[in-house]
Amino acid sequence: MKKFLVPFMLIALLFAFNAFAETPPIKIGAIFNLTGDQSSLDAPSLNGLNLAAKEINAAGGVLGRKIQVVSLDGKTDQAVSTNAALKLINVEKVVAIAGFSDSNYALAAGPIAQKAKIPFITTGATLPTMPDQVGDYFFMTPYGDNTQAYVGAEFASKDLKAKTAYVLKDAAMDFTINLAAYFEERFKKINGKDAIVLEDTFKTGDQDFSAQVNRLKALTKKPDLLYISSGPSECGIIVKQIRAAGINTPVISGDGFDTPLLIELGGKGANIDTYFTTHASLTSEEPKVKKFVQAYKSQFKTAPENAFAALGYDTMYLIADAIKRAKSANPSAIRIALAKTKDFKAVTGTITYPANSRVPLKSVAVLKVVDGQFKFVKSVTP
Amino acid sequence: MGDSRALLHVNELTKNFKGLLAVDHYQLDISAGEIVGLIGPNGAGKTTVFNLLTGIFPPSSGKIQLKGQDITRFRPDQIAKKGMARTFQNIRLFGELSALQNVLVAAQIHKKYHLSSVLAGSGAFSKEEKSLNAQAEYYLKVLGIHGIQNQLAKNLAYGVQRKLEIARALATGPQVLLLDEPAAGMNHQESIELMESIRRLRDEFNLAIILIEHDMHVVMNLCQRLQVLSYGRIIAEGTPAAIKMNPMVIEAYLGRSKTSA
Amino acid sequence: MMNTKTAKLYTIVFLVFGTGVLYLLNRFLSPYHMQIINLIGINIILVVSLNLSNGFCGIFSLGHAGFMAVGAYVTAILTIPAAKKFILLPQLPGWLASLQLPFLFALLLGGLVASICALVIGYPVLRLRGHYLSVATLGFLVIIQVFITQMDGLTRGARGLNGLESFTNVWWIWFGVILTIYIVAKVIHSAYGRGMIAVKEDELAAECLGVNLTSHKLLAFCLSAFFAGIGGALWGHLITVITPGSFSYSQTFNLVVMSVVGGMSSITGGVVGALLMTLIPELLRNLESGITLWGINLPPLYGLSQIILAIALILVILFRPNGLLGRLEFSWTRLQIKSLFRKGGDTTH
Repeated sequence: MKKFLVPFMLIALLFAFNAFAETPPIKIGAIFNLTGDQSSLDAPSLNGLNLAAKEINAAGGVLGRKIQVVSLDGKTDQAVSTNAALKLINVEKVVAIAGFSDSNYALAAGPIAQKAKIPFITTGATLPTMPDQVGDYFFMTPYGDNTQAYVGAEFASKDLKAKTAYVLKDAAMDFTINLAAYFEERFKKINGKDAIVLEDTFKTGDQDFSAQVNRLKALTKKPDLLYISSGPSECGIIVKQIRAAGINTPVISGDGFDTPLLIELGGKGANIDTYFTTHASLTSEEPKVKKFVQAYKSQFKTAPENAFAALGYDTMYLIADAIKRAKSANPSAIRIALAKTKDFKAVTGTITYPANSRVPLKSVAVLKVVDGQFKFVKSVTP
Repeated sequence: MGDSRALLHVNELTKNFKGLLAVDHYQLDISAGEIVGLIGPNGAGKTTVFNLLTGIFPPSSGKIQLKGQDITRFRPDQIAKKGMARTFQNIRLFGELSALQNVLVAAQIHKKYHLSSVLAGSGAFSKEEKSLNAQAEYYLKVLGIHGIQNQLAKNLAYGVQRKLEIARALATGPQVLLLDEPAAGMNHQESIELMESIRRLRDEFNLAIILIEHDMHVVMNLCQRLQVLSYGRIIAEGTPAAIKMNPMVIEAYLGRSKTSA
Repeated sequence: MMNTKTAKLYTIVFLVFGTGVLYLLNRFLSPYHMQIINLIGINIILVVSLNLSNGFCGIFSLGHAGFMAVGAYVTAILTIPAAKKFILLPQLPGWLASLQLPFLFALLLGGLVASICALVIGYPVLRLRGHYLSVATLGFLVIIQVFITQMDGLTRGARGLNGLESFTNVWWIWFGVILTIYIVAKVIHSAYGRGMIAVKEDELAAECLGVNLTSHKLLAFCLSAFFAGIGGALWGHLITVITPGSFSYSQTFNLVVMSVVGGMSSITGGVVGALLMTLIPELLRNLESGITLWGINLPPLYGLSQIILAIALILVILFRPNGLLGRLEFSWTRLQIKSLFRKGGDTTH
């Protein structure tokens, strides 16, 4: 017995020493679709998140503790996404989870976090009905599609003086159906119930839009505006084919157009009066934006691929800010602090959660394609 | 016109494959206990006749009548249920099933249970399965291959496989049995044994047998009647002795047979 | 050779034991671990039913996820409470809008409707052979996806149905697994199963021995679809979100991989395949996030699990093309590890 005493005490001392040696990190979970179809949106988001965590830690962390990002791959698979959420909550014991740019996955993982009373903040999913559906632990960093569609309608009516519009939407995507519906709702409110001259559809993956273009050309009442509700893969192709048919009517869309593919596939046609609403203008001169772009470039050796990178970055800072204000890394305290977020200055705008809403009041950036580049037109705060 | 009271009555059976006349007005009447041989050179249409009789494809014209019922447009499984079974020129055993299971597939043709009994696991089901197993074992015994009943069919010796084919066809309880070159690939001794087996089977089960064979020794000794087919047409029909002497047959076909009688 | 009464006894003891184990696991394991067990169970239902048509009957169907979708949507529409249905699916016909069934009935109806779909498409399609048949079943999958997307009055189209009641738990899944294995095993070890295997081995010979091709193929196909529907419904009420994209070609493919790896012509193979190919990717997660092994820092390697699984699949196809279990089936008399690795030989139980 005696010969075990000394080693035992040494080991006990070691444990004790270890416990006091460093305060444990604050574990923040991250679930993104890093493989599969969604990866072009989610990978930059994770990059942004990680970059922010690094910056925060370099500045001393939060409440004297370092942030540790535990990142899992959702594999663009709903079942896998739920597994990831459960692992983060039950095994990794994270205090908050950030993730996903698409509502189908946010809605799979969200309820699990809600049930476990862990805040879930989606970095890029924009379906505005999500937070009410999932519960009070679910927050959105980006604005809802209704917000950006309304801004699109207002911009078209007030800035482009459009009185009538043609709407083309992807009937196979949740996001594009909603976006078009919200646009029509606001546009008709401003310009009267006959303001939409035609609503046409296509589906994700289509390459040939000649049928839709012909129907557009055949309209006797020419619309003042074309609202194209599409995702990143078709936006450039559609614009190119419309312009090639000699139709130079201004085009407006939502953040589905926020992709290099618009320039690559849209060609010269995209340079003619093509606008879209998105979360941030990465070419803006605003110091906060410039600092982010600079930091992203030096960390990842490339400019931020899209606004989703900025959204990931902002989400991390948002969570850190909530922890600071709550003076606690306790999940329920974080939730309360998040809900009270007001005038939080982020790269993608200023974030405020109105009372009883977890869809932020945020400004919308309107961009225009000029000479193969995205140029900032204005920022609209609804 | 033949005898429509015969067990199997085939009249004016013709098959035209897009201009190729494969079978040309084939006729046959056969009754229980008879063994009829169908001979002729390769490509004469003998297996095509079998295929027509067993419903694998429909004839272009003609009639097939089994036990008084017109089965001309019947599906193969319906014909098997009606009482006509066959073996195949190229053995078509279920390789991944055991010898016993091969025969079971045939024996279950008249099974006495439905899906509901299977799912409920009822006594009727297990009783019938026992009975079917007993039947299958019996047919294997009859062909003398009971010992290998649990071996996979694909692993059996060639001769045993040929016997299994026959046991299987027999297990459907037919009245008419069509054997397509059952002695193919067998040596002299095996062919004689097979001959005896076929005779015994005919006696025990009161079968009508139609036999396609190239082995003339088997044909001459086993069959009461022969039909000689050439380019789809019957060019001669009669007792083996008569056929042996038939100058047309001798000239064109017997000279080409594998072994002389 | 063990007699059936003893075998039955062993099976019952095992079921009771299994129920007890699940009870304990449910009590003491975290929801994360239970979720994995739940998914394994659902995949067992899906793969064993897939084996019935693909492995035993030789109908290489690529449409399994389509039947999952039918089951999931039918069950969902029947379990969503009327008030919620009014908001989510305002265009439902009156009788459907007010109908809300207990989970058991909704589940069984989901399976039933799926098997009716199988009957309808099976009739013309099952005459086709080989690759043509597979492509036709894939076509069915596409048709179902388009149907679900277009009929948005009935299904909410591309937006999918979310917030489904999470009815599914380990007991429903255990029930589903037992039901599936029981029914499939009973059918296989009967004239119907023998007929199906015969149809796969040699259709022509089978037919000439009195096996009705159409009825046997339809039975395999429809029964397989029934359990796919149930599996899909259980899945939907576990994940609580279903969209047309949830039941995609890649879902079918994952199931086919599980089936091939475990052994297409074996119920045990289906269980093993589902178990391995559900568990291993989750375990490999730990590798993916980047770990420190003996002082060496391995960076995150997302996508590693998919690569490893693809390599494993290739190895299995190269070295054990009939799957890990081949055609071997679990039986109490053969509870010897040796026999699992003996090729060919005795297939009787």
